[in-house]
Amino acid sequence: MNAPRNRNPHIGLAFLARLLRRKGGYGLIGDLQEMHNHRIQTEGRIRAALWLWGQILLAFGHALVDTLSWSVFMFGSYLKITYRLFKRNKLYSIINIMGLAVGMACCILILSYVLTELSFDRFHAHSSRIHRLAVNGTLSNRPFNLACTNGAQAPGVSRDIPEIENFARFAQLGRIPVQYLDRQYFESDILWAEPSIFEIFSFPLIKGDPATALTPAFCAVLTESTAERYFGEKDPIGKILTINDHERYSVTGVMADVPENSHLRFDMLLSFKTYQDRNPQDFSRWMGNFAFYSYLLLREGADPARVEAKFAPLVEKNIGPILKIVGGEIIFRLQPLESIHLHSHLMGEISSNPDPAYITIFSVLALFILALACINFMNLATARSAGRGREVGIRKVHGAARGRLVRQFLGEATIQSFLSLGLAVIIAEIALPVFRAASGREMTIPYLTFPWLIPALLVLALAVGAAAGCYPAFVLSSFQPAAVLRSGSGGSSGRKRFRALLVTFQFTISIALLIGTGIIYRQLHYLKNKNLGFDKRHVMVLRLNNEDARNAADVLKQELRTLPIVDSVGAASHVPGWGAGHNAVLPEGFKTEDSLLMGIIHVDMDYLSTLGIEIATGRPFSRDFPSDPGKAALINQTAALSFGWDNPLGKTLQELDGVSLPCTVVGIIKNYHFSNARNAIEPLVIFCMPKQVSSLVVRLVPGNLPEQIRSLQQKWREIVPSAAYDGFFLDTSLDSQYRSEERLGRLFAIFTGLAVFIGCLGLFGMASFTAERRTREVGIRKVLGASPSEMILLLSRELVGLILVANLIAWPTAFLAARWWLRDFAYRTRIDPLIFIVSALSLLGIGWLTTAYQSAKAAFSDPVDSIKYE
Amino acid sequence: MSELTRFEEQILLSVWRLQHDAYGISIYHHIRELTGKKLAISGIYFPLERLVKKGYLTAFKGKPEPVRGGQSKRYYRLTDIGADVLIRSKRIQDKFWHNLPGIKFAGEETP
Repeated sequence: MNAPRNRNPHIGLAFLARLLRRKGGYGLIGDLQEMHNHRIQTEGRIRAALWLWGQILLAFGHALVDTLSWSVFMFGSYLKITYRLFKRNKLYSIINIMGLAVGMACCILILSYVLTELSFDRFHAHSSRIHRLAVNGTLSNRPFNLACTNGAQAPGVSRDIPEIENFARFAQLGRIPVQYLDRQYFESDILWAEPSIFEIFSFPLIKGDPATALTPAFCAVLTESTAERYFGEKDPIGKILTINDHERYSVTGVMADVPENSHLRFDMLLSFKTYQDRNPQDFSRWMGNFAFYSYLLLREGADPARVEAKFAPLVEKNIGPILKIVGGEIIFRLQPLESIHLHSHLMGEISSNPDPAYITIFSVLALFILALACINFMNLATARSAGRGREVGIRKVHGAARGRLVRQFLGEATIQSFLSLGLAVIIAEIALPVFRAASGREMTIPYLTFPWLIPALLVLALAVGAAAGCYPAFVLSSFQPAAVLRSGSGGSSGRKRFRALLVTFQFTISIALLIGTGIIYRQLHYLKNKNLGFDKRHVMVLRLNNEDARNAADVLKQELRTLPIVDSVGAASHVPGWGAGHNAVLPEGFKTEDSLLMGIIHVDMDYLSTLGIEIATGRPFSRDFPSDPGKAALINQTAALSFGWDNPLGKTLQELDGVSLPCTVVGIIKNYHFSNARNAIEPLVIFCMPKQVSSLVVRLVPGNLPEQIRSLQQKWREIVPSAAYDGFFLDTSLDSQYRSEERLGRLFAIFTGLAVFIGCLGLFGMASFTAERRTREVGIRKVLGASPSEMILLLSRELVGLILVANLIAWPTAFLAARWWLRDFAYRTRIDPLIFIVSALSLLGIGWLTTAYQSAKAAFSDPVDSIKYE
Repeated sequence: MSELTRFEEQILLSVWRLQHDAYGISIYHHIRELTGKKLAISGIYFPLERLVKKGYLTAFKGKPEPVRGGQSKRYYRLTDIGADVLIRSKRIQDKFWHNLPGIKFAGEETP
């Protein structure tokens, strides 16, 4: 019987036909057609149509299942192939996977670091609405930019500006002794804090009620680790901590440790009310004592710019009159909480914020190392596949489809790439402690915080594998079999040049990194050993940390001098490294409004001699002049210049703090670094005020350190038993100023090591192939009478050439980068050409050693073996 | 050489039996008769093509037929390798079935 001719082909079948473009699809379509037609006869049009749609859906389903199971099967066969590949060329596979894994691990670690830095302070629930109140402007013609405000300003603006929902203030306490029973420690991370901080910030309390924990005076909230330090396993709530020797605070709460990515760091919080009750003057007006960190919580949808605009009239109202007298202006600014860590570098920051440029630098470095590793991977894969040209040729002769070959190469490379990723994750975890130490941050790899991280890494592995497999996959598989079989390895000059380019790139990066590391360490060395203008060795600083100690200063000095280990003792308000107090100083002959903001230190008669600070002109403070205490002053050379006096000796100065009288300048001291050696030396005035000191400086005779410390402690306890002994070595504390540079140096060293390692891996692999390929050439040359040393020279010549080129590019780049980095230092080492030369030579040496094995093997091989295969 | 699944074996045997008339629908009906399983025809085609890829079957195009509106049928035939695999598989099965002791069911007398 004749079936009806199909005028309109069924849509569903058309779709199916499209899907089954493969060979044999017509069979299924035809069968379905036949059965459909049959059904129309037996069951009627409608039933038949329904049946057909059902069958089409089923067909789609089956197609899907079939594709999946086929892929699984293919995957299995790829695994087998890779395993066989691995066994055949163990060395090559290991080199390749290791190199890529190291590069990826490095990338993971750097990425974690960068992500951590970028995510600072975002864990607070309201982080986008929190702003810090900062103050800038000018006073007495000196501009300033402060991260702190005065105590009355935050509540003041909150009252008058409706967009501000809440506010909280913090203040620092400095180094304070804290005691519970027999456990006493000096804490430097204590903050005065208001109860509202629990409403604004997300610092969850494990024990205690956030609404009341900090409300009454003399309350303390501890972090978990701090609580453990003092109370062990016991419940701290309700217990009393003795702070500052005689103040008693009751523990009202325990909170989780402050997370790593918070710019606010503390171990303990004390109720703000305690400070307020004792110092009402800080809260009654808007001037004076800018020592509070004020944070404002804006309402939902409030515009920070509009709020900022509302500050000006308030400033005018509250500070306007005073400003007119003193001269200057003050502007309040809002700093978004999330931007503080990276972008705020004001005076008085609560924690030192890193230079955001470093984030960029590290990211770029990580990308470079990853690029190195990927290039290596691709390079080696390509070189190896060139060697497999013969294999490809044979396969094609046997009729291997091009598609299959492409898939095979791509599959191999991708699987190796994923293996590297797995290894990289493991390496990253293992290397984490080292990285933490080097970067100074307690970070973990944030797989959970950033859920896109894992998929991103997988995509990366896929991309690298695909890129690496691309070349052999597409280029080789299109070869004509005969040509490939004949030439044997298919290494054309174009490809050789490309590989040389890649190796040069690796060398350039390695050399630049080597130079960078050298420069950083040089600068560090320079800073640490620079002449600071005083003798920092063997000096112990003893802090006079309570009233009793300060009153007993003279007695302490006398008694300590009697100890044989003590050479001399002095006292001051600030020891070197701590900077100086700042206040307006009125020199003789200047008008009040031209008073200068200067550094001020109060010392006793012996301070200068104890530290070895030298006089340039005039005389030091001395007991021969009984009028010195309270009336004499010394200025440093910078100050003398800024005063513009021809002869400063005999002129007077007055500190404008409302109590001081004019003092006479008796001498000019040679500049010494009283602050950070990084900064230029500012003008400094030293007043002779033996009673206004806070620390003793003790110069010790070089000897047995632990014993010396013990005798000092003993003497101290004899004389001032109520004050805790708090002493440290001056040189240690000064060295700790360079922690961030040391960190940078360590990181650079690690990166350099990695880059060189990866480069060498690549070089080693390349050398094996080059040697393999040139065995024939080597053999012939040997037969013609070349000696082994000549052979080695020949094979190394290429390497030397590449390194020279790399140097040409690396040197100027490194030089410019070094200049940029050093510009921030007021005192810098000169950029030593020796570093450049040493870097180049060491890399040359390393590179040569890496290839030496292969070259030597080739040079000493028996020429007969190599020519045998012609 | 990987093992045949039960279903693949059934397909190959059907093709063998159907000789010159082995195409989609006929194989489908044959299997349905003998096993009673209600499959869909698309469930036959993909395994068929896989067997072709493995080399156990070859396929070829038949003449265009009016009953299919002018389309041709796709016929399958067993290859030597396919036959080989089937016979080998049967041999192994026979070894398992050879001289099995009498099966004792619960509650029955020992034969």
